[in-house]
Amino acid sequence: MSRLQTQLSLSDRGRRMSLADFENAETLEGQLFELSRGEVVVVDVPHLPHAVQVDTLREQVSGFRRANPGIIKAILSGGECKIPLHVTESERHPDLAIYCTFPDTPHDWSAWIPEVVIEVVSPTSRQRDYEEKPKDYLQFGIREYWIVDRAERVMLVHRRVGGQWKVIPVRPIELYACPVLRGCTIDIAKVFAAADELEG
Amino acid sequence: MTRIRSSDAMSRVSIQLHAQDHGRPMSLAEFRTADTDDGRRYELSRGTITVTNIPNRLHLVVLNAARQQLSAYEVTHPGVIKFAASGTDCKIILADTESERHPDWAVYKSEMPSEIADDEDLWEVWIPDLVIEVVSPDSRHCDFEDKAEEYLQFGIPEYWVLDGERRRMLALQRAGGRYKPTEVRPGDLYRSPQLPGFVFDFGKVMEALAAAQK
Repeated sequence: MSRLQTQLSLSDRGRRMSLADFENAETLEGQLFELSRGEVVVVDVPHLPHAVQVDTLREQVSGFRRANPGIIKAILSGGECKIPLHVTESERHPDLAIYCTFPDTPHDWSAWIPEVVIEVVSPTSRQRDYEEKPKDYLQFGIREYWIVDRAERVMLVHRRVGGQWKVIPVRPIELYACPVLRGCTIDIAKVFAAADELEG
Repeated sequence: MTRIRSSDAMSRVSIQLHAQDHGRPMSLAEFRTADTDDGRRYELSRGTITVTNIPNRLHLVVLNAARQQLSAYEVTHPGVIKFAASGTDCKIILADTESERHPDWAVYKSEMPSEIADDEDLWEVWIPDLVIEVVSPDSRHCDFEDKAEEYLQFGIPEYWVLDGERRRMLALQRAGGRYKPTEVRPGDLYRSPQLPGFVFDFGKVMEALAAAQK
């Protein structure tokens, strides 16, 4: 059966599409697309302060992983992983996803559930990070969702408690020890400092 | 329901549940502090007390036959399962739906959380990787519908419903934010994604049930 494959480009921003079509669509190299409640979203290549915050977070989690082998199986960025939700017709690409298991069937993203996902807020992602993604990540079965918000100088840890998110604000003066990652410690002050330094 | 006022300075009121409380509405907050001492199992099901009589002979036969296979797996694959608990040993608390569930069997691959915040309960944050319910005639709708919704919401990756009367098992695996169902009949071998290398023989469970019904 011949099947038409959609090629997504920047002009598809806002286009309505089903998750099935979106999963089958091709994208031009160097562009990241999300499907948000049936609507195509072009993820703008974020600015440098965003990138160094993601880099610093990844380095801290990687340090824990090296020191405590066997707990974390993969630390993937948005271009390397996806979170498809059939219920809301969404496909999300978190800034970082931390997995403690490998999937039973390779290539099935719908059944590979990260323990922790992290979004670093940028001006264009703020509404999605705060309003839409908490619901999707809860539905997907994720144990903790961290919103890293440098403008507000806070990391909001969303922890799954009794089937709902409980929000725990973590300020730069404190370290956060993640129970889901068996005590992996995050120093959010260093994450913000890396971006602050760039901007002088 | 009996309210007992203790004589200490705080003058705390404790609630004692009885069989006749079945069907009575109650808040999760009250239910969580209530006591029971009569050997029955109490659940809070969307704000309503549900009393289950224990034991139900055939229910136990089905559960036991399933459990034996899981126990054998624990011996051959040490370290995968950290804890396995019956409904009296564990609970699942959902504030959103005002429910407190006691699954027939719960399998935990994660360690029991050692540090719990003051405003949290172990049974709100410790999420089993597999739960099993054995259907009894009065629990059919609840096991297939209500509990599937709640276990999904709680974050449980896999849920089995064993239905001896209809000789079928439904294995629900979390995928894309919902449960993907797999129907298992006697003669089928079921591989659980949560337990690598485990092969569940539902036929053996049905054989045990048939032997007990003779």
